[in-house]
Amino acid sequence: MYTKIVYDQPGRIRFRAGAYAFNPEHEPRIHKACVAHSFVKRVVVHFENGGILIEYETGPREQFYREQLIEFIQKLNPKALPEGEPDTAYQLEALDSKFKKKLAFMLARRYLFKWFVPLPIRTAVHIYKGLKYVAKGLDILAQGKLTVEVLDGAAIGASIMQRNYNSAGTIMFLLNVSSLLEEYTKARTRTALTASLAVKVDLVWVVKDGVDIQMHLQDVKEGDLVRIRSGAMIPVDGTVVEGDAFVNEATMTGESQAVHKSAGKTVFAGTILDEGSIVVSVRAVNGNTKIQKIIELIDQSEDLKASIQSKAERLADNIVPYSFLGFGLTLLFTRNVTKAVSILMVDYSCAIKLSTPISVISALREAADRNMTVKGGKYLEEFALADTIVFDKTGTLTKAEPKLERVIPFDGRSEDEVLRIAACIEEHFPHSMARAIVRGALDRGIDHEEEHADVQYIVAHGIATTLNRERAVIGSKHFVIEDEHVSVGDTEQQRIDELAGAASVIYLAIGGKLAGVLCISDPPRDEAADAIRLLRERGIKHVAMITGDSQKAAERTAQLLGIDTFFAQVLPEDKHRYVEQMKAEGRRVIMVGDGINDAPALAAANVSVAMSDASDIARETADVTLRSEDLRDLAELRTLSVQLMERIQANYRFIVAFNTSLLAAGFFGLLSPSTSALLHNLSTMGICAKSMTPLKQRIP
Amino acid sequence: MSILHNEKFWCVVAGAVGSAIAKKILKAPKTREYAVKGLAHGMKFTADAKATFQDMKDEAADICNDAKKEAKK
Repeated sequence: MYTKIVYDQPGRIRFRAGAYAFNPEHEPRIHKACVAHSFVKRVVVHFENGGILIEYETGPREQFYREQLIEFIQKLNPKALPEGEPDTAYQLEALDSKFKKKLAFMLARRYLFKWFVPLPIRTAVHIYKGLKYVAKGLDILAQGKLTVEVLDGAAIGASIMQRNYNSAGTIMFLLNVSSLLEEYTKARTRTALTASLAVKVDLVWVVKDGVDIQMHLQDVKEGDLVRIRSGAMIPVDGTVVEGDAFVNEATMTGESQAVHKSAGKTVFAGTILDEGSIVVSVRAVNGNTKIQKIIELIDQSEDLKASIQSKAERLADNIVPYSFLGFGLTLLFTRNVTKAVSILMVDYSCAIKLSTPISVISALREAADRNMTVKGGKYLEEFALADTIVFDKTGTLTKAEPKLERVIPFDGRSEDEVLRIAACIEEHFPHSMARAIVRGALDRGIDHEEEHADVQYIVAHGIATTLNRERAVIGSKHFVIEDEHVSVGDTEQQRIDELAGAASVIYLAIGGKLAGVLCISDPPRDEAADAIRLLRERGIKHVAMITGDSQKAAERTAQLLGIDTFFAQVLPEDKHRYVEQMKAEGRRVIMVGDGINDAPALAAANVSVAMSDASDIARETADVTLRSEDLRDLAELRTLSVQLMERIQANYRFIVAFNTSLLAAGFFGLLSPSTSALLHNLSTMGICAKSMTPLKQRIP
Repeated sequence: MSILHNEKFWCVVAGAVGSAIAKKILKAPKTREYAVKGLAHGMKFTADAKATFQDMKDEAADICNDAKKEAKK
């Protein structure tokens, strides 16, 4: 593409290709192609003048980046760029620009109409438009409801009847601006959430000639066979051809009960395989079904609205009859229609009903901007009210990447052999301990080819498979020794205790004999202690930790991090009982976890948080998902949620005080109905605009 | 012959003739050609105006950016 460089400063370069260089539909594609460069920070594309502004990283490689960009733009052919979902930053900028244009257009139309259209036509238009509001109000009234729409219709109708057409016009204009503001905020939040909720499955296991091969999802074609195991999200739509499993289709159907799927049954992209293993013949590769479903859920579900938001909406409608009562009483006592109409012009409901959801949505967006996905206003409210936080230890409080510290072989096997077998079995499962073993093998240069049969994941206990016709199990002590009845002699146990120290121990048994143990050290995350301190400063009174690990390991972590209570050697099926017990004691509990085994506890808590590297089930179950690995985000979310509640309360106080003053002024005849309407609507717009502003600064 | 002296009659005639001529003009290929040309000019003018306006906005943004940088120094 032929372009001129019209601006060139370190970190910022602007190209201009001129009008008609590319079309509006090429804008998002060019944007996407530019932001694909890792060093590019921001891109703005305008088809009107063929302008491309690129902001990129500065520093020692600045010149190299600049040259790369110039070469890229020179070679760029907008028509050859592939179509696709526009980048989120582009979508957000497009929304901002659309909103500004719409607002400017509304203002211009209003004033041009006011200045240049003759009075009789203006009056006719006001009456025509006003009657629509009146009709809507009457329609709702006919359904036996007395809502804000009825009040709007009555206020506009009363103004028209009083021949105060300008006032009617002002009210209608302000109502339009308010709804534009609401629509914009919702659209912006929806876009930000869509980006944050997109759970991207990059790699899948494709069965080719009986062998499982790892492939990128984008390379999977219709008719391919994909193997899906416990805890994984089904990445494609298709038909089961082999195996059976229980699939949680809540994202599709809303039904939380897992559905049994066997050969011939259909499965959908975005659903979760709870238990079992299946091979699916691909019918369609994942589109946006899941994301769309969640977005709709956030947007529409009454259940997910903050109770303060639902309360505000009910309160808004409940206030309406009192506005009419005020109108009637003023008319009765003053016999002055103008004063009575002033009362009708001012109501609390409008501002409360608009500002509360905008505050909530805006906070949800802010959380999304800060790498935290909150699945509904209700959870922000719960987060603000919680007094107890419960952490899962492994993968949550401890480093996301536990390290394989030591391999202790038994039964005459070598360290490398034990590690090779363990890595081979564990590589199929998305848990931090499994990853540590696989990485440990990789670091030691141990190659592990598939030697075993189909692996069976026993939720939160371990994995079982068949290796050279012998049963091989790997997992916790409880699983291997008690459930699988593998005997461990005193000498062996003594050796394990001596060498393992406070590390977590994974047992591997083959053919009923202990083959070896893998010691995995799991140091706390660097910021964990800081995060707990910050949470305490923000009103969390009780910090607890639940872990399946040994007493010794749990105690050490609790001491290091200043945790009040810890529960060690907890079986996964019991984790949720501790949460329920705390709730029964009257606490409001936040549960933070990452594994499949945490899902019941996450579901039991008042509000739950999944870490960024959590399993699909945990992410699906959790009400909040962190997208960064920083636990201090929890403290940020706490501050955000508390500030949201404070903002809503402050809004209430302002709305009540300001509108009461307007009512009093109207009653005593100090304000005309149109001035009351203007001040009331301006205050409503002001409070809505304020509710959209960011709540807090980032924790330094 | 009084009808020839009737003003309204001539108005009707003039109206009918005017309509016929207007119809002819509207349907004439030349008229269409001029209208298309006019519209194209209009569209080009709008596009050029938008491009110029965008250039101005971009330049203003760049100046603003420079000023911010300068202020930070």
